[in-house]
Amino acid sequence: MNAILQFDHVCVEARDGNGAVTPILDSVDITVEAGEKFGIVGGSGSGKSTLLRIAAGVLSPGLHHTSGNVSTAGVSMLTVAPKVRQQMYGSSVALVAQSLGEALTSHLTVRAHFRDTLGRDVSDETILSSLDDAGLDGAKYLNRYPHQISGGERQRVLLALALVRSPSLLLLDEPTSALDVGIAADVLATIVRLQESRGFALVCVSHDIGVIGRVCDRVAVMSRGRIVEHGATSQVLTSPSDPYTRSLLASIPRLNVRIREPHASEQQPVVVVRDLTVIRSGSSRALDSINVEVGKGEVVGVIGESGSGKSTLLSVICGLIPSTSGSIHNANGFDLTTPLRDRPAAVLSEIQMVFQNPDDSLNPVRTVEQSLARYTHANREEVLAALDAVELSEQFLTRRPSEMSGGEKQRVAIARALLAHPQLLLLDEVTSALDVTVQASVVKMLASVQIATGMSMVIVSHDIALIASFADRLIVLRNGQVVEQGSAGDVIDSPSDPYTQHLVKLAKTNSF
Amino acid sequence: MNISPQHRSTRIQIFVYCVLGFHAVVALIAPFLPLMPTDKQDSGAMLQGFSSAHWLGTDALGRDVLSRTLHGGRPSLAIAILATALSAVIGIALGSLAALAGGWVDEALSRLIDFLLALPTLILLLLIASFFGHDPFILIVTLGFMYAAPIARVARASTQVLLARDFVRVARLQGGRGVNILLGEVLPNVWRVVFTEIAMQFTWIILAFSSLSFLGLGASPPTPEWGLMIAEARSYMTINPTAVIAPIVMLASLVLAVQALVDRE
Repeated sequence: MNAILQFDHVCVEARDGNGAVTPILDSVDITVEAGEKFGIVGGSGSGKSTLLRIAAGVLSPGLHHTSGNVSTAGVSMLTVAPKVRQQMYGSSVALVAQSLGEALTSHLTVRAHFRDTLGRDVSDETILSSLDDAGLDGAKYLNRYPHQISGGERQRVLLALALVRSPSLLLLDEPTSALDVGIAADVLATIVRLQESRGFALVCVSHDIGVIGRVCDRVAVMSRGRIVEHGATSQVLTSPSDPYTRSLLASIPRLNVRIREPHASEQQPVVVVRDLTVIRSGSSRALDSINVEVGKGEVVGVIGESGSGKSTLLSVICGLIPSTSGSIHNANGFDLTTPLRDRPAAVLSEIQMVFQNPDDSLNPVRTVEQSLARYTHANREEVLAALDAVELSEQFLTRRPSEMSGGEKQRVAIARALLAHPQLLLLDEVTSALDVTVQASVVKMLASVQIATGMSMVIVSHDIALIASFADRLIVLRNGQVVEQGSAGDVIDSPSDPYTQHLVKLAKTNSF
Repeated sequence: MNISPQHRSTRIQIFVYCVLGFHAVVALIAPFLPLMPTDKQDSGAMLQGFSSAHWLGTDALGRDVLSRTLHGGRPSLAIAILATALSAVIGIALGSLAALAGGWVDEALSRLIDFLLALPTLILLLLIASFFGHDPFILIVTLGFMYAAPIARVARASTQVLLARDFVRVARLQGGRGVNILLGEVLPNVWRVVFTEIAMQFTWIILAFSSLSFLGLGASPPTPEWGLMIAEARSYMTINPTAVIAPIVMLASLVLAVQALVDRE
């Protein structure tokens, strides 16, 4: 066997303007044989993307290679002349970067992208067969611009572009992180099919161990710039030896493991939604005749793919988006379609919402204490109690968002919502921007808050397993309509709607 | 290993800070330096070159060029600082209110901003200066309004972005309203973005005031002011070029240093 990619004690560090040094890669050893499918899994900041970029000879600004050798297709990537490296791109090594939005040039058609790669005189047949291989009906896409094709299709175009010159090594950075589960599964199947028919070596980086499990034969687990464990995928996933790998695997939500016992709510509902329809931008219905009730102390999970209207539903319930028709009432019969500025303070604080992106949820110029107390008028003691409820110490009082991790920011955002003493807490994909291990701890924390306070919650997520482990009742949304609702156990074990069956099946193949 | 561009940029930065520090110190302490009085005419030593008595020579009236050059930034800086402060206040207020109000208010304020942007600045300044004379107060107010438009545009755009962010939505859910949100959540963040634009306007205002002086409508003789000095000395440029070059170097270094500084931000 000959190695197509070899890392030999590679060390890379980051140096900032003040001379502070942070190790990014710490004595990394990797050997990938020709034709092999190799996976690298790890949380954000573990160095996995840096590793992949270095395999392609790219060292981001601010990073310094201090020792070790990187050899890609027999060429020492970090020392070779840039011209040689340029010639290798596409023909011996290809990299598909993570951000789908930026990887294609917005003013070039799909055909123009191929001409950029292969030269002006490339025939349409070559392009078509290449797109066809990637699972796209090429003729439809040749003249389209990147904004005219969906995320999954874009990923396929990128794959076709990367493979069109038959490289012997394909590097994939988070190939599915921006895609819905269903589309992600299809794209992964395409990747596996292409690899098997063409025999290139594949190195795939992901935070999602499920992705690696489905694609790769061998896997390396990274944490803080080190490879903590590597071996055959089946072995690492079933009998991990490193504590970090074990915590990573234990953090993955599973369909049949509950972190909070369900209980049926018989009390008066805190919010009643009747025939709610929302029409945005023209005539498309974001929500279509929705009927939902949330009981006191009940946790309702909302699942659906992107564009199904699940985030819109939350925004309408809390009053950030106006409804077009239908009614929303609280326990006392107050009309919740009233604009926010006309609501009494007591009604306002009844419903609070936590958003998806922790970086966007906190004002960057304010300390945690200022953020928590500004509108809730909470005193120091109440602020400390709220921080304690989200498992943050007193030290966080004076921190600013730039000094906190994503998980910490999200906890502060939750604490701020709790300080308003809501009866209903709306959680919009609150864990999707977080690492799996952090995600698990945040969900556990939310469960204990719910049990302690008895507040009602509506939790929206694309991750069915996560919701099923937490919610009493599930609502399945598709194209703005409720296709199924029922107790969490019933929906997961015996889904009646075909769409729900499809989603549950995908969730089952994703866990192992 | 490789020499990073960061080292070079720190060196440039230090240089820029030195230039700005030099200008600030000189403008502040010029009256206390052992220099000749700026208006002392020496009819026996007109248009002289370098000498131990006059390090940068003398101008057509025999006044010391060094002393006048070091004093020459004071009127421009004073007027530019006040006018920039005024334009920052007007621009941020106009832009952020337009974004917050939305609807027809936004439409009306945006057209006002467009109108200000479309005005031929220097010609209008000339017109106003020739009407009202050398009144620095009028000049500051005029400059403040005319240079507020670009700041307003940036403030409006960044306010719009900020209003859509989640922490503003949370503030609304927790009872924050209109101006409260504007002052508490938006403006502290707008300021970071608008600062660069304000610093740029500062340099344009300095240049505009010097241009006015050059045309005889800004500072009035015998005040030492760079634009005015250039205007006075250019006829004798072949005899004592330093009288023109010195104020040009001062003006150019100040403007370039401020622009280089905001480039770094």
